[in-house]
Amino acid sequence: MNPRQLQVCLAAAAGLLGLGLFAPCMTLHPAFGDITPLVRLLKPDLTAPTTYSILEGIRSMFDEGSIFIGVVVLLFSVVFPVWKLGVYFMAAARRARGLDTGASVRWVNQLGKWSMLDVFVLAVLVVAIKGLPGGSRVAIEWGAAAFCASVLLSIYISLHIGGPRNSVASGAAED
Amino acid sequence: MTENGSTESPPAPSPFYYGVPLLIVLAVGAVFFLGEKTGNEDKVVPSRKVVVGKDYYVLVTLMEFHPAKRGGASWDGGSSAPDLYYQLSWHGKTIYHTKNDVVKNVLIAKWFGLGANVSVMDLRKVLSNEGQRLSPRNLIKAASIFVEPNGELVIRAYDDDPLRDDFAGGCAIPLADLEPGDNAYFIDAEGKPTRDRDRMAADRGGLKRFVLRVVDSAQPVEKLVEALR
Repeated sequence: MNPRQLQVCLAAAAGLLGLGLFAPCMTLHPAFGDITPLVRLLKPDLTAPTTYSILEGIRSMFDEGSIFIGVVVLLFSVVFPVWKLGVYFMAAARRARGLDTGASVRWVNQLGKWSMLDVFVLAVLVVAIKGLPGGSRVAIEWGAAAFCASVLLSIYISLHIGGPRNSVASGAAED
Repeated sequence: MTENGSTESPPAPSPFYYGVPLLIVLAVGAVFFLGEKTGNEDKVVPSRKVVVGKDYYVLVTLMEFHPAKRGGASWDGGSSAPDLYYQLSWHGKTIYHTKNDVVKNVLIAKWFGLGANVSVMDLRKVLSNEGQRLSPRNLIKAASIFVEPNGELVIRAYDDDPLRDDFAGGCAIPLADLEPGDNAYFIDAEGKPTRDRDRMAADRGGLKRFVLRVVDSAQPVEKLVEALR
């Protein structure tokens, strides 16, 4: 994969990440078993479906006082993926100029396993909410698919961005 | 192989590249936010009319009387406010009324499209999975109409009194003029309904305004509940 193709893939991954963070990720449909119609009549707000994006979910964690969990999810679902793509963008630019991709790529690849944490957090959230009693259910929205696609695309990019290739030194040696 | 400069490293790319993904993410977020905002604004504009040949539920969700009857007489004895109820007629027949759901001593009355007169014993049966079931369809408190090109719905408002109910006002609404959702009508100086609030009669007496809710009856029960409540 040449640097130009890498940059296109990185731009796509960043776009998908943006969609994944801002678009609806999941919708919670509360239910109360057999008395759902009655609850709907008496307390309609309790049965109203609620849609969350990842960022709205993080904000509600902060609002409800779950600061630690909120910070962890913010770091590994927002900050780390954006930083990782930034490092890859820089690496692709360096490769385009015939330079080594730089130590930061090695750092990102070392920390790469942490990037799966965002998928893990999402999965845990879904499983946790799906386990609610009374027939409540969670519908996964397209934002979650965009987020997962961004993670998968960034993994694919990490496989192709490689280490110290196309450097001036190696290029000179080849010549 | 090349010139003198070939042994020197080319300049490193600008640190700006680190920020490119963040800019893209923020740009997508901005587009998404703006698109959502525009979508919400579009939703506010109600332009659809009811469809001829379809069935709808209709009910009055709000009704307001002037402080006095037509002619200036007071509603009930002393300073009491009237006891409101209404009646819907279609094809010359009364198809719905709230005579058994009078809102007492008010100038503004509200009704809901769902409700049930359930006793505590009945409620226990419903909650305990034995005996009768509570179906949302049985709880609908609205008239059912079929929209025809020249059809009309007649609304009559009354003050409920022990001896003889006072007629507060009424009007006929062409069905084709209705929109799904809430239709606000104001009674003008000639006693005719208008959607223009500025034409509402200031001190005519009797019926002042009302809101007619129209709900597509072919919707799933869950949406009906949402629309009628």
